[in-house]
Amino acid sequence: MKFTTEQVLALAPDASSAKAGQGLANARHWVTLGSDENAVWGECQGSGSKPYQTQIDLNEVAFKCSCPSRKFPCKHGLGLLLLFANQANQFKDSTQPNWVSDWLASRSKRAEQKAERAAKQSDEIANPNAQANRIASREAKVAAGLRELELWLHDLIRNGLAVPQIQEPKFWETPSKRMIDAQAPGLARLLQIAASHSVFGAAGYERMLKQLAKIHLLIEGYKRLDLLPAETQADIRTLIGFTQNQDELLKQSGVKDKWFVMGQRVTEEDRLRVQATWLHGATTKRDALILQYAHASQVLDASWLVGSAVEVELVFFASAYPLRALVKERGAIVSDLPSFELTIAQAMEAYAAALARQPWIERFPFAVQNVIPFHRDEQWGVRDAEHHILPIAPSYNKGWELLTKSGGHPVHLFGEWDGEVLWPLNVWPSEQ
Amino acid sequence: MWQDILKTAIVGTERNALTIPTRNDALGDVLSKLGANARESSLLSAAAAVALYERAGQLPAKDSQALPVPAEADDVPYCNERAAQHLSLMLSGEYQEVLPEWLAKLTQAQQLVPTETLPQLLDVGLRTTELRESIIRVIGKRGLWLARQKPEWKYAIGQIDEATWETDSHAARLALIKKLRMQDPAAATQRLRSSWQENSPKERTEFLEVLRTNLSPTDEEFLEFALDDRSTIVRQAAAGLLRHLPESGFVKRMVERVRPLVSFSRKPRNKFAVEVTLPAERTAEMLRDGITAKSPYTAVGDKAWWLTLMINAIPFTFWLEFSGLTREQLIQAVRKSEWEKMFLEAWLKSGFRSGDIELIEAILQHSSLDITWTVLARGMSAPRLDELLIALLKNHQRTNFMEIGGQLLIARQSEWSQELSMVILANWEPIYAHLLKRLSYYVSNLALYVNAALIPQAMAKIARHNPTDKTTENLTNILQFRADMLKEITQ
Repeated sequence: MKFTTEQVLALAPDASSAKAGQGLANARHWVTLGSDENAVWGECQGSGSKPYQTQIDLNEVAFKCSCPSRKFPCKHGLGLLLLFANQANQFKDSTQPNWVSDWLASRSKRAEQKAERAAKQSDEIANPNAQANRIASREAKVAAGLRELELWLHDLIRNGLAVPQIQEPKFWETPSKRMIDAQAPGLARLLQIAASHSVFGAAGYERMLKQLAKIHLLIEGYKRLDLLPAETQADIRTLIGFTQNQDELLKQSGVKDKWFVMGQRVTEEDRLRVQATWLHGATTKRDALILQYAHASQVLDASWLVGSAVEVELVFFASAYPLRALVKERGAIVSDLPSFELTIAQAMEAYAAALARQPWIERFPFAVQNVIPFHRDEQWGVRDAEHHILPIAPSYNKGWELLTKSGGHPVHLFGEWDGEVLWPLNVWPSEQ
Repeated sequence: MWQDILKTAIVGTERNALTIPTRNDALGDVLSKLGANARESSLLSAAAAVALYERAGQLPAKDSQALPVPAEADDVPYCNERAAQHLSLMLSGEYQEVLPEWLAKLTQAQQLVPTETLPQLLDVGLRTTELRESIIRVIGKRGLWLARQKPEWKYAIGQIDEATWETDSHAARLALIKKLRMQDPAAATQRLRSSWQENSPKERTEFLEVLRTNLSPTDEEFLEFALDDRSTIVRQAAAGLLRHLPESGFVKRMVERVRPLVSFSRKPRNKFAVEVTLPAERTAEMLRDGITAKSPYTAVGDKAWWLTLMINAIPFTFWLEFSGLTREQLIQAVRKSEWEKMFLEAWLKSGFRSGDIELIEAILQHSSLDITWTVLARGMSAPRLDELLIALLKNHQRTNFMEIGGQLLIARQSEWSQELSMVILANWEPIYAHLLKRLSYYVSNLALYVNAALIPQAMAKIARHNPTDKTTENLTNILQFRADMLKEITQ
C-alpha cells in the first residue's frame, strides 16, 4: 500500500496536529525506524529522556504512541506515516521489536474476543419476558409522543407559520424535549432542523414546511406501520430514533467487495462530531455510508484512507434504500482507482429512484464523471460533458482548491447531494 | 400548486382553507385520497407529496455559457513530496521566514510548486508584495491559469492590459508598473506619463518610488517633468531620485548653488578649515528642486536647512575636485566645525549612493552619526552592502563599527555572500552577543541568511559557543530546516 501525503494529512484530528506531524516527518527526529508488511514503527526523540514509541498497524491503519498526547492520531503517528509515505527507504529495520509485536498480538486478540462476545451475547437473551416488556413500554411511549407531536403540528398549521413565536427558540424546544422524553430522539433532531430555518424569516418558510411535511409523513407512517413493507418500517423506526441492534446485524452475512473509500466528511451535530465515510463497491457498484459519532474528547476512526480501496465485508442497516452499513470483516488496503460512469443527469435519476424507495434521504452519494468545476457570479458549480450543472453549496470553502485541481479540465468528482446543492468531497483526474 | 400550499401554510388553515387541486396523473391519485375533513393533516400530506414529487422529478439545469479555456499542461517538473511538505509547513506559519529563500531556490532548480498549494501561495503574494516576483516563477502554467480566474490574483498575470489599465485600482496599477519596470524600464516611464495627472499626489509619489529600480540617465527627462509638479511631496520624491544621477542637470544646479557658499582653506600646522555662507534667499528654481521653505528641525534654521538639502544632492567627488584636498583632509576640515554633521552626513549618503566603501569607512572612523542606517542600506546593492559589512564587521572592536554593522546587517534580508558569512562565523561570539543585547528581535537573521553552503559550520559554531537556550535552539532549528529543505530541492 502506497500512502500519499494528502491521505495521511486527512487523518489529522486538527490543523495544528497536521502541522506538527509534518514537522516530525523527517528521519532526523527518529532514533529508530522500521517496517514490515504489517506495521510501521519508530522511536521519536521528544523533549523527555526516553524516546516515544510510535507504531502503526498497516492492516487497518491504527495508531499507537507512548506519548501523553490526547490527540488521535498524535503528531508522532502522523509524522511517522508521512515519513513512511515519502521516504520508505529510511525504514531500515525489518524485525518487529517486542513493543510492536506485543501490541499487534493484543490487537488481534481483542478482535477475537469481541467476535466471541458478540457471538455469545446473541445466544443468550437474559430474560426474554423482561425484554419483551421493555420493548412494549417503549413502543407505547413513542406512540403517545407521536400523538402529541401530531396535535402540535396541526395547531401550527392551523395558526399558520407566520405566527411570531415561531422565531423564538423556546417554541421549538418544548416539542423537541418532549420527543426526547418519549424516546423518539430522531424526531427531536428533525424538529431542530425545521427550527434552524426559522432564523431566515419568511425566506425560510418553504424549507420549514418541507421539513414539517417530512415529520408528518413519519407520524402517518408510524400509525400504519404494519401495513408497510419491512424495509420501510425499518426506515421509519430508524428516523424516529429506534436503533437497530448492531450485534444482531453483524450476525447476518454481509456484502463482500473491494470498497473504494470515496470521501469523508466530519460535521457537528448536537455537540457530537459525526464522521461520514462513503464507500463504493468495485463489483457490486453499491454505495455504503459508515457513520461514527464522537464526543469532544473521543477520537474518530482514522483507518479510512480516502482514495484507497479496502477488501471489506459490510452489513447494511435495514432500509428500503440501504446506505448505512457496518464493517463485519476487514481485509487488506489496496491502491486502486474507482471508475466513474455516471453523468449528472444519470446521477439525478439514481437519486430520484432512491427517493422513490426512501423519501427521507438527506444526503446522497454522487460520483459523476468528467465534470468541470467553475466559478461564476460568486457561485461555484460543476458542469459535465452534456452541459448539465450541479450547484455547489454556498458554504463550501474549498472552491479554489477544486478549481486548481481541475485547471479547467474535466475531473471525476465525488460528493454529497442534498437535493439542492452538492458538497464536493474528492476529485480524481480524468483519463481524458 | 406548491405555492398555493405554502401560502395556506403561512397564513394558517384557520383563515384560509386549502383546495386540493385535481390532476390526471399519479400525483393526482395521491392527492385525491387525502381526506377533506382533517384540514391540517391533508395540507401536510399534500405538502409532503408535492415536495417529494418536485424533488424527485427535478432535472439538472443546463448551461451553455463559455467556460474558461483550460490550463495548458506544465512541462516543468514539480518539486518532490518532501519539498511540498516543507512548503505547506511554511504556508501554515511555521518557518515562514524561510519561504523567500525556498521560492528562490525552487526557481533556480526550475521546479514548480504542487498544484494544490496554488490558492494559498497566490494569497501569500496578495499580502506580501515583495514575494510576488518569486511566486510567479514557481506557479507554472496552472498557477497563471488559476490567477486569471480570481481578480485579486491578477498581480500574477502581470501583463499591462490596455483594456483594464484605465479601470484598475491604484494598487493593481502599481504592481503592474513594478513588474514592467523590471522588464522594460523605459516602457514603465512611458506608461506612467500617459496618465500621470489622473493620479493623486500620494499615488504619483508611490509611482516615482517604483522608478528606483533600474534608475538610469534616461529617466532624467521624466523626473524633471515631475519636478514641475504642484505638490511638494511629488517634487521631493523626484529630487530624491535625481540625486542618484550625478550627471543630471539637477545635481549640476545644486553644485552651482553651493559653489559660491562654501570654501576650504589651509591653516598652519597642516590643518584645514571650511567656511560657509548661508544662502540669502530661496528662489523659485530652488523650490522646484524640492527645497522646502521651513526647516523641520528646531535646531536647524531655515537657511541652514536649504543648504543641507543642496549639499545632500552633491556627490563627494565634487568636493575633491572643488577643494583640491584629499578625502582625509576634507573630513579633517569639517570636523569640529559647526558644519560637521551637515557635511559628514551628506558625504556618507553620497558614499552609500555610489558604493564608495572606503569613504564610508573613513567617515565612520571619525564620527558617530545618528542616521537611519536601514534606509541608507536600501540604496545600496546587495554585493556592495556585503563588502561594506565585511569591512565593518572585521573591525568590530570599534564600537562604532559594530553598532552600525549590526544595524546594516539586519537590513540585509536575503542570503549573505559566502565571504560575509565567513567573516561573521569567524567573529561569531562578539557579533552574536551584540545582536542579542541590542537587536535581540533579529538574532534569528543569523540563521536565516547565513550562506547555505555554510549551514553546517554555523550549526557547529552554535553548538560550540552558545549555551543551549530558547534562542540558540530556535537558530539551530531554522538552520536545520533550511538544510533539509535545500536538500530536497537540489537533490
